[in-house]
Amino acid sequence: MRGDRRILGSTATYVVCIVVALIAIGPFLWMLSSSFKEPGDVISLTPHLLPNPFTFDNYVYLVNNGVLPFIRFLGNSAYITVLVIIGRLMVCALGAYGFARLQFRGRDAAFGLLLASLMIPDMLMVLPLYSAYVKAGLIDTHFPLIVPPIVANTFGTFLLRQFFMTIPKEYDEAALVDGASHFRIFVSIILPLSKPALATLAVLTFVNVWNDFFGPLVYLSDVNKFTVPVGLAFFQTQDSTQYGPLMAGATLAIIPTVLVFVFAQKYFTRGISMTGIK
Amino acid sequence: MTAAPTIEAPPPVATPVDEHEVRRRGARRRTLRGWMFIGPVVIGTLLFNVIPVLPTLVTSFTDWDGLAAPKFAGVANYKEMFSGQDPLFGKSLINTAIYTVGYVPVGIIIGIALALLVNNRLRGMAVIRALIFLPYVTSLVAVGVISRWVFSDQYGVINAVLASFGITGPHWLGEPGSAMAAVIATAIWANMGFNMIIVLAGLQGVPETLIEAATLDGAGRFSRFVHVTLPFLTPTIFMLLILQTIGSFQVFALILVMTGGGPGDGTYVYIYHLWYEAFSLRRMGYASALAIVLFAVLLAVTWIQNRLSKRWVFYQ
Repeated sequence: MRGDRRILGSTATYVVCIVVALIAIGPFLWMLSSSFKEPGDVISLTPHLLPNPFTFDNYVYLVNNGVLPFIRFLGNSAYITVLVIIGRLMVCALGAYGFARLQFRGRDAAFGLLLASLMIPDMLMVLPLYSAYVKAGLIDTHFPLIVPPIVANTFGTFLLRQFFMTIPKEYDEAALVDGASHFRIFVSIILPLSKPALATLAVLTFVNVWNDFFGPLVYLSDVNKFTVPVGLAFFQTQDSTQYGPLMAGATLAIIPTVLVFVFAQKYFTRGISMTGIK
Repeated sequence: MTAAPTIEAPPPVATPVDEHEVRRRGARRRTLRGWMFIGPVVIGTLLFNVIPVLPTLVTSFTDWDGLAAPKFAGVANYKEMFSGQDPLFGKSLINTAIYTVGYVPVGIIIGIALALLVNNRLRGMAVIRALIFLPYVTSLVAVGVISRWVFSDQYGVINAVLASFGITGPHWLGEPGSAMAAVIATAIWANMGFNMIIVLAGLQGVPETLIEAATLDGAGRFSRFVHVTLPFLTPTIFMLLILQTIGSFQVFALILVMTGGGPGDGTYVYIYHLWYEAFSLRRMGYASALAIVLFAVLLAVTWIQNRLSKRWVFYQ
């Protein structure tokens, strides 16, 4: 009797879970399927999930439309994202080591400064930065999308610092006795032990930079320098009813983050529950 | 402890000057070394995230196109906002407030409900959690593009479903009220996984012994949730409230893609106004003042929420 009730309960849970999961991913399935449909089928009033006939036309249109170079957008997004990930991991890990494992003058004041900077909304910085970039000739370059995200990431520094603090101090001390320098300890002891935290920062950075919209929107005007999100938004303003190509574009914008998410899911959820921030 | 000997030779001391010098040099070396590690992120943060705040404050008192030298304008920018000369300022503030009030509480409640739903050890639950979380990692622009279509009056799936029940769906994005509702619904959908994960983390802090005790005392599911689980979740809910409110005041990408602030000014939100003033009208001085006011509003809202939290947030 009790067993029956429990089975009934878990069946109900499953049913609700599946409905919710379908609500969560349904729009993406629909997007994916529509991106392979012919124009008439895309807006058909008797919708069907599987594309029939199946076509790559929307993707071909996206790539060859002669106005918006979508392949370029993908390339721009990819190289910016990779550079920021590599640079950010280095700068944040160095800083985190200093904050977590060294004692020196000015450390706590500097840490306080970083903490305070987290509370300032980006909007308070963007206008002076914009005019500084104009004066320096850096508008319409990728500099504002690459360098500040690398060198000014307090969040990543905090994330890694939290992790570095959990590594026993005895490791450093033993290495110091053996005559290793702090840089050596950082590279050959702390970094290898911190792979999960570094992976967490890498995947969170990937999603942030890949999806960034405001930065490219404000700092870029040359279509050839666009990243995927601005390119897609721009495409929509040009062709707001071309649902097939738009869905193909959305698919290309989403697929990289979905792949990263699928393969590195545990790092995501860990990072987010550790910090409460993306 | 044994009695200390009353007379003892003083410990050998090196010449005080030497020791001082050595220690000072060691400290200097340590400081230098420390700054070699933290230097890049501290300087980068100062340069890009701290120092630029000051010019924003200064230019908010000027008339400035972003290129030529700013002309001092006193409090004219602030006066323009608060004297009603810029009706879009008030309108955008109201729209932002509507969005925030519509999105934040419902988003958090849905997050709690989802967390409770998937907080069990049934097989396959990890997959379900991942699927619910998925929209959160996707580009808001792509989400907006999809959502525009979902809410399209002619070709949208929502109106197709409504039609199958014989209901004629509204022209969602064509009316200010329903357009705002569509944007809010999309935001809730896109962020429900985030709220779920945060609440799930909070749920792990609820002592199981207390829940068991309540069960033994005959408390039902609902009363167990209200009297045991919920109090332990209040710090998590409070954190979400602060985070999501601050985020809501800065909603932009979704609006730009889904409605462009329209129809009319129906979804014209604060950051949209700031962006438009700064980069379309080139009124950087005025936009700076808008940024300063945004910061002040965020500080005030956070402060108020913090004060109110003492009445309902329960810390262990």
